[in-house]
Amino acid sequence: MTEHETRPPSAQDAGNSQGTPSSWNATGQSVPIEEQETCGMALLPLQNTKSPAIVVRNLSKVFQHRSARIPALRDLSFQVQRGEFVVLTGPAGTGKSVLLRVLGCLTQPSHGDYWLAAKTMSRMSAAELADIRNQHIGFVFEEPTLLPGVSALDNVALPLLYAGFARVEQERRAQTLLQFVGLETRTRQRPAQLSTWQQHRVALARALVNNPFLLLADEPVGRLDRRGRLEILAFLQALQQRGLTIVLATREAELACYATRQITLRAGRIEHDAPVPTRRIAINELASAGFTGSDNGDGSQRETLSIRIQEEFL
Amino acid sequence: MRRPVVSQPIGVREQEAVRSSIGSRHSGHRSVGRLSASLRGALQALYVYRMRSFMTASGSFFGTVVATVAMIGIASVQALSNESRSIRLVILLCGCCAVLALLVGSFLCTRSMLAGVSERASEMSMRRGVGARGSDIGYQVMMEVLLLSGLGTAVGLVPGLLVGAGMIVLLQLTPVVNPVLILGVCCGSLIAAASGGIYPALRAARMEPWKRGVRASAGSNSLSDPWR
Repeated sequence: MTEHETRPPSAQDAGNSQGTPSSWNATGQSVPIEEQETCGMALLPLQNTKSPAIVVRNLSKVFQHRSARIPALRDLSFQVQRGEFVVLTGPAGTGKSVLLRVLGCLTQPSHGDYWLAAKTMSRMSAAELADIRNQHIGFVFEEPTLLPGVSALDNVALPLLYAGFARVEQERRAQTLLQFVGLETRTRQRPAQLSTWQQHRVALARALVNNPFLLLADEPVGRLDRRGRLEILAFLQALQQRGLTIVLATREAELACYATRQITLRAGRIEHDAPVPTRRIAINELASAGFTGSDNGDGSQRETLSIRIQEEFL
Repeated sequence: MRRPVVSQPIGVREQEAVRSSIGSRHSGHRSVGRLSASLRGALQALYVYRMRSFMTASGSFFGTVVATVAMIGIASVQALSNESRSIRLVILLCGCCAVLALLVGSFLCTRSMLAGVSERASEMSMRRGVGARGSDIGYQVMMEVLLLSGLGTAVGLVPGLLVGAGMIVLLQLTPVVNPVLILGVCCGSLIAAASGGIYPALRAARMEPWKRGVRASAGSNSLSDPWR
């Protein structure tokens, strides 16, 4: 399947002081911030912390498969404020993952505009999008997708390698993040030596190591048991309390009660978009279910994730 | 060379300040260049996919062995200072053998790296997803090819020279080793491997970030059959 890529109308972007890709020069390389300021380019919207995290306007995505045009997203418009925890729900094939790919700068929309922190993403080149992903977006998927044969520490440090950090700094940050997810004793182990649950946490640490502005999760708890799900949800809720914007796509509508807002998609359109009326707090459920210590209930032990956040990081 | 990076510690409190000001990053300096990031990726891959690396290096190895023997043959026959037609034919045949061997070596490199790229689609797609540009992945594949073919060429020179020496002794020729011809074999082998690596590198560079269907659990850590 090849993507049908058409650029949004230039009139919408050209000269748009809010949205022009001012921090990127003609050769596709980013300009240091001091240079931009001396150039007098439009940086104010980026520094305005009150601007929404995500603004999507008339966004469509069409895939072209031979002669057939398959619309995945049709004319979506919405905003996500900073610090919101949004759950995208809907049956399979309604465009949740496609929307997440567009929001995550993995692909460009066919039509319409997308601003991330008041910076337009709709006209950026693939290399610029890679830099945006590298510095501002974290991804979590159903599968951990780690580098085989490479230690957990190096796996977590991978985004920092492409960001250009020195080796010492990479290791220091990766170590902090592994401690954050409760794996500080496992830094030298390879993925094959870690359990699935531990691999998920390494992937979570990798998503957070670049200090992201936006965390995108596509079915992050699909393969986990009840305790693992609650721990990951508690972790996400804790991150959201600290100001991280989170967008989570899932088929399971019941996960929406842990978020602050639910957007339901149907056939590529928004069917329902409303704040979650009664929000469930995953950490309380963990406690009431008896998942409080490292004891698994059946005599086995496991490392905990959410308890650590509660005690040390909140 | 490139963009500034956030260089504060990743303390919990500081994160919010950074996060709230996307685009207004503190200017740091890029201490690691793009190429060294690709080199690190290449070195990791050479270790993790040892069997695949061995296959790629063996392409250059065989090419170098055959080409070295052929070059020693050419040098020794030339030393006869006999301008007969048969001598010229032998030189031509030896030259053809050398070129053919290098071409076959190049093909083996391409074949092995192409299989490697599809085998490692999950890795490449993940690297693209966490912020590697297409060019970073392309350079990584080229570096893998160059490192491996360099190794294969260096190791291949030894048996090549030994077999060449044995041939000279058997044919009772005057032993002549022309260093220019040997240097030519090394350069030819590297150039052949590099040109063979271009297509796999382009394929790898075009990998879609976080591609669906290739994101897999790395837990199995399986090295699939390199003869596939």
